[in-house]
Amino acid sequence: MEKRIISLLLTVIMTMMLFSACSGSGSETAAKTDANTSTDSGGDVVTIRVLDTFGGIMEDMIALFEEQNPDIKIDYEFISADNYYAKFTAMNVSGEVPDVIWTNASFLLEQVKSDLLVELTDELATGMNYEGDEIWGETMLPSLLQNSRSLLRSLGGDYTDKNFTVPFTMTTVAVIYDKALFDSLGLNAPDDWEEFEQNNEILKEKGYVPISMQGQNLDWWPRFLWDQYCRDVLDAKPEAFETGEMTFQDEAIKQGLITFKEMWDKGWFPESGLTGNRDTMLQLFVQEEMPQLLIQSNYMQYLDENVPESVELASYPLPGVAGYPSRSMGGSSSNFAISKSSQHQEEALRFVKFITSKTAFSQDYARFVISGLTNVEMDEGDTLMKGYVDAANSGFTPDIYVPVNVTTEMSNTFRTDLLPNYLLEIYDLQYVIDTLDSMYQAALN
Amino acid sequence: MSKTNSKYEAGKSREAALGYAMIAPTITSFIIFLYIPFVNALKTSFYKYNGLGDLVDFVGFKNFANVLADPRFARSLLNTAQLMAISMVALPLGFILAYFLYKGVPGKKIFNTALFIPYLISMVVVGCIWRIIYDPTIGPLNQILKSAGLGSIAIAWLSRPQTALLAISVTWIWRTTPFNMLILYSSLMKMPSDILEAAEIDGANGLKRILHIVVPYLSSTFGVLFMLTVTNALRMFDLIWVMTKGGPGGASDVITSYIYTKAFTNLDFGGGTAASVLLMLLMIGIMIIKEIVTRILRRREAA
Amino acid sequence: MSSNKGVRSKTFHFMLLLFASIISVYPLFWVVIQSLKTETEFLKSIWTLPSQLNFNNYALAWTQGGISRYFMNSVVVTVTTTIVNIVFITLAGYSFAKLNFRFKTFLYYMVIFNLLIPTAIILLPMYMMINELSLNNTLPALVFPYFQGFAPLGLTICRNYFQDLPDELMEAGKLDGCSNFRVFWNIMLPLASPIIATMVILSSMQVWNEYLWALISITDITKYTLSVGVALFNEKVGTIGYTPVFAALSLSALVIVVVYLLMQKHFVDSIAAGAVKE
Repeated sequence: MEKRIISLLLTVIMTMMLFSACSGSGSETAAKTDANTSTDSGGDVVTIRVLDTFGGIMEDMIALFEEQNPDIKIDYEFISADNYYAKFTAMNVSGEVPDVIWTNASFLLEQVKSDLLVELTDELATGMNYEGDEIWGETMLPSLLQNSRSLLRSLGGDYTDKNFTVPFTMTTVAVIYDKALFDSLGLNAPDDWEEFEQNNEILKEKGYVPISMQGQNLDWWPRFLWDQYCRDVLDAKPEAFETGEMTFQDEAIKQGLITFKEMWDKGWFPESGLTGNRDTMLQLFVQEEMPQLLIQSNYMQYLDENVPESVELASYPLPGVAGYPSRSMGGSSSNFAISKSSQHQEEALRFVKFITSKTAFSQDYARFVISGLTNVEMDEGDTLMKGYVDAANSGFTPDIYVPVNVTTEMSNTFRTDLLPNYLLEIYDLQYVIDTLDSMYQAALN
Repeated sequence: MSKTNSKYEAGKSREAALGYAMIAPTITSFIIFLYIPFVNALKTSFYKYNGLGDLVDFVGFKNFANVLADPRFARSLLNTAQLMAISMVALPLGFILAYFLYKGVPGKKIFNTALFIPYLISMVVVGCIWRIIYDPTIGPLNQILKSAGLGSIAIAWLSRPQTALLAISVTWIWRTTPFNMLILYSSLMKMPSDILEAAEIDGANGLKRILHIVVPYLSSTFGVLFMLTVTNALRMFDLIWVMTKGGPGGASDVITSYIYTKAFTNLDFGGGTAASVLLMLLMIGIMIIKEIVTRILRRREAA
Repeated sequence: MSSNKGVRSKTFHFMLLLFASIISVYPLFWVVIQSLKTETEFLKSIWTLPSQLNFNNYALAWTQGGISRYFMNSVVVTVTTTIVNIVFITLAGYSFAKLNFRFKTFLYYMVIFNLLIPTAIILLPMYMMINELSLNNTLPALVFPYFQGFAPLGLTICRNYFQDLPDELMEAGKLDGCSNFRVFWNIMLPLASPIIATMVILSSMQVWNEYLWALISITDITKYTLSVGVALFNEKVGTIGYTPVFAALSLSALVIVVVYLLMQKHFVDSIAAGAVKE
């Protein structure tokens, strides 16, 4: 008996070794190409390394890029956003920061402060785009580009109006919903907040969880609400918080939190959302327990492929609670940068230009992604994406609006400590407000 | 006389030389790969450091003050202690299973394997699987509860502050009981049968027999397992991270996730290291107190 | 005692063990079953059995997850680390148990103290050391940190084991003219095979499943280990779907289960022969 197990195990191990040896030859080629990277006399293949947390369409884009640029090979490394910083700091220690790196608001400040990224302001202003027919910066929606610049606002002075990153896709958040269910209940995509509330009440009565909320983006809802309540002040004077004209003690701020809590108390959100992430929400939607999802557009693909026949997908932009046109959240929440230590800046730049180009986004794989580029037409006839297109067209709220995210620590505390405990009534409203206030004051200094 | 003495001394120093030589690989590795980095890490606690570049921003004891003032730090310590306490359940559980196996059942070998499986699979897998199990809507747990008529307690286990840590602890117990079981089983196997026979002759019935004979016999094993339970609970990270990331609102934050969050999510390495130092001081303090108490008790006993 | 009572308690024992076994095995069993479904089947219901055994997810995990490459890496790392662990720890365990020298206790606690150092703060400094020694992406960069993780547990059980071996054996050996080392090599070590078998299993398990250090310290993605590959694949649930991830999880888990099944006889016997005692 034991002998048989041993021989079975040996067979299994040998088979696996055989398979890995076969596919291992792929990695050999990669190693060989690596050896070529030291010098770039024309004709040699250059390998550039890309660190990314976006995933999804990235791999398709890379395949297309390599096809069109046979002199460049991409060493693609995917990592989860959770482990990104741990990985990045390690890479930095050994001087192996990849040529092209994904980054976002949380990490960008530290990376720029430590002078690790190449400044792209001039290239965007005067350089050519990938296709070579337009100024690079002009192919991006102005609001998007401005949004990515505003990420550096808290660094002040020297960094105003500078770009150290380029935005990758325009992260747009809208509501994906089950149109078939809505139709059967006689509901329509809401045009205003009142209708939105009515819909939710009916859905709740029928035993559904009306709409999503996930722990990793817990701050979305308050920020959506603040974008409405604070719009009159903050649009006119974006620096209102800095000058002290507006503070966290203002009624508008309180209203945003109060409304959010009301929605929670009415049971419109899934309880598991507090510690769940996006895939938990996707699950609930696919299982037909929760017919509305407030989420980025790229998840449409998974849903499109996996929802049961009875579900009909459609989308609508979230209505504005204070009656203002609704603006989406997100903007340039995904960015790419070129590291200063890159040995292949020209190639890295070409790649970064590619992933922000019409060529890259005019493919099938990009159907569910909003490119944020001026020269890419969004398919107006695409009913699935209609809500996202509408939301994108309305522009979006600046990344730092009500300044809960001037520092990474503040943003994390807001999202993982203050908000959940506020919903759970462990903290009261005043405590949350006061904490935000004092954190902000500390951050200003 | 002196010849024997010097031979004895020579023997002793040869023994010492060999002793050092045999531990040299271990100790060298520890110094190079653990202690030197550790000392460097300690330095970080006096700086404001974002992980990139050199240590430049000296802030003295500010990191320590911040951590001590942070209510979440205290909370994470409390949670860690709670976790340790609850995970002790894995000891009697492991004992019961080991004892039943020891008493003998048909299919013992199959049981042995089956019961050990939780310990074999990685923490990430365990966390993933159990997160789905606890899911309030699609998870098997709540579905079973509902069909058994217990729908009222079919709640969002991982999302309520009162139950999040408890739910994770249950998973942890599921995971660590097999190890205890195996160690206890092996110790039981070495138990001389005459001990049990003697007790039977003395008329001790089943339960008494177990409690008064078997358990004391295993006391040293229990001691080691106790120490391992404590230290493993102290170091637990992967499970929390995959299941709740310390949420909701820090309800299931243990000291390891607190430190990781501080360093790698809030980009505050100085603070993370300061928290670690405080933890170490706390543990050393507890050990010293334990030593003192033991000595006092021993002295009382002797008197 | 009446035989009735005996039968009744035996049945009770059996039922309890059966119940415990089901709880122990079911989660893994469930993941494997789900991995054989298509994504649509899985989303429809988690209770049904797959309509047909669908190995596409495994194929997907194998190719897209890079599992094939990482598998070999894991094997190499696990085997090497385990060998290093065994060699270092048996030497040290014997020394702490049977030999006398100054600072013995201090040095012993130096190893045990590692249990108090949280991984998060040592990650980056350890990596800096690896970098200083130019060991990036080499085997030692993984082996020695893993050794440190294993050493406290390994040293404790190994030292206890050797302590239990009677000193008379040593004396007999010395009378025969053996040096201290020969006593170790020719007499004690052969008796240690049970504890070595135990350490092999514990060490392999620990190394096979570790992912955080491997993820951070390996910068050459072709050198990732299986656990890293699986952890990364796990992140893509929202895009790739649950079932391929389940396949990857199952693969990783099943390998170690098979190895354990194989070694089980040795393991249980070796534990029985003597492992943990203070």
